[in-house]
Amino acid sequence: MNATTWTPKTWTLEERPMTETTHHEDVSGANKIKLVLAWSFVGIPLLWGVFNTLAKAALLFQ
Amino acid sequence: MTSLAQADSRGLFSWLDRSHTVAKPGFSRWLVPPAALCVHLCIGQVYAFSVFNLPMTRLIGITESAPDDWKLTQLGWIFSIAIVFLGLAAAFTGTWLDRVGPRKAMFAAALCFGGGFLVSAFGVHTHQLWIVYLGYGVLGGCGLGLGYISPVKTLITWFPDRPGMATGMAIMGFGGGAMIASPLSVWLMSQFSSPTNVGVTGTFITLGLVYMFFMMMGSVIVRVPPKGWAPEGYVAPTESKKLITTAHVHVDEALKTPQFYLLWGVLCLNVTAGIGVLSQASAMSQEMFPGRISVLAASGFVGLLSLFNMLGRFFWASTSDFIGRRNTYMIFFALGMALYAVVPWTGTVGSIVLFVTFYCIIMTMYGGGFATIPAYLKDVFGTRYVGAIHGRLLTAWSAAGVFGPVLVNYIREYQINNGVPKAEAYSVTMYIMAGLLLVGFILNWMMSPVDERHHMDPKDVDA
Repeated sequence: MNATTWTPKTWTLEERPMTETTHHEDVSGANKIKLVLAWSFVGIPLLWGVFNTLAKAALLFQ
Repeated sequence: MTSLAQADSRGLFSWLDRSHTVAKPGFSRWLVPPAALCVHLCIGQVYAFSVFNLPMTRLIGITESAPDDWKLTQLGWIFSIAIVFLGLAAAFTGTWLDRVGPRKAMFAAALCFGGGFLVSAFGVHTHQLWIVYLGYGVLGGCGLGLGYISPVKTLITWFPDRPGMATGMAIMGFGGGAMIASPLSVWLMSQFSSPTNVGVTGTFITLGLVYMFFMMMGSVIVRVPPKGWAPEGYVAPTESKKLITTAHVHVDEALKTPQFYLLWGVLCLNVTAGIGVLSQASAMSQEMFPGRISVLAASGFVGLLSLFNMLGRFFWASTSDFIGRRNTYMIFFALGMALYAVVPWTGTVGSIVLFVTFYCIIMTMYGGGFATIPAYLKDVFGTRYVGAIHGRLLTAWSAAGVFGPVLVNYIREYQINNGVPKAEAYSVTMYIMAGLLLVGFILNWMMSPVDERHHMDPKDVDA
């Protein structure tokens, strides 16, 4: 077994995880772009699927 | 008990560790639902696997089945094996997932599910059915189970103020996955097909790689909140109220409580009723309205049910945040009973619009049952082991996957063999489904808070 000694992680300011005292969300700038990209990544295929389904379902009422 | 830190690894894959997924300042929790959707939209493909059945019966004969081609009955096992392994993987990997965190679990799910397609492509190419069983059924099924439960606890901890809505968004993806996979698979097969090839191998390879990529993107995006994190303005309740506990129950201890089995029954009965109808929706619509609903229109009806199944996951799970989980299930069972009981009447009066409307509402509650159960478990057993407990509860789904279709098929056959016209053969089935929902209503009504002796010692909760 590897017997390396564990040392506590020291965080740089940027790496520092959120704590209960820093729980606010930054929804400006880069974060907004990330949100748009992430939701588009899943939203576009989903909308395509919904559109296809509705087009097929229209036959039911013709 | 193994501590969270011990689950960390070193080297190339250390970025998958839980410690590397802790969110940094400024991370928006609204990035977590799309991460979960990346996984659920992919694994939801399983509901569309039937689009491969007919082409796989013509792998040798191409235009029509040759004597050595696979039979539909043999191919039906691929889906069944996948669902069984979904349940097994969800039940047995819950505690591992809880230890290693969502990123490693989602990554493993991507390898299993995408890899399952690649192994199956090899099986189709060499025409070895057992390799397809092993690939999509066993490996892919493990990916399904692991992927299904992997983001649940993470979403609940990021959204303690709206746990139902958060898990509803992810599980909505599982319902929507088939709506993407079905037309995509048909289109890919048309692109890969040639006079000597039906195009299944190429489609499997493409889907395997695309799903692997999408699911891995989810694992890259996902983050866990740091210990003690809470959304701005949210104050965690300090006292338990009604069915919502502030304590935590260990996954092994949860199995010793009557509440686990009551919820198992609640989920199983809700799913049994819905899945039974879903599996027969196409035939049922054509037989209840002979000459008025064509084969094509029936496939449109099935698609519409999938859409409402998906929408119900988000709607009901979000609603449960306001009206409570038990009340939500009370509505599922009470309204479900009424709708199942009046569906035969829509056939009698010949109203397609009412028939479709009632079934769409029923499907929202079928999907809603899946999406509301994680938040229900969180309320009753606490958040600490909710992912693992959810995994074990999903065995109810596997059981319902067998009960539902068998019940509908056998009752229908029995009635037709006894001279009941096809158009009326579903009436008794619907009344039996309504009866099952009555049992579910009683089980849900019996739910009570977990006895304090099952609660974890607060000092063990963080271990």
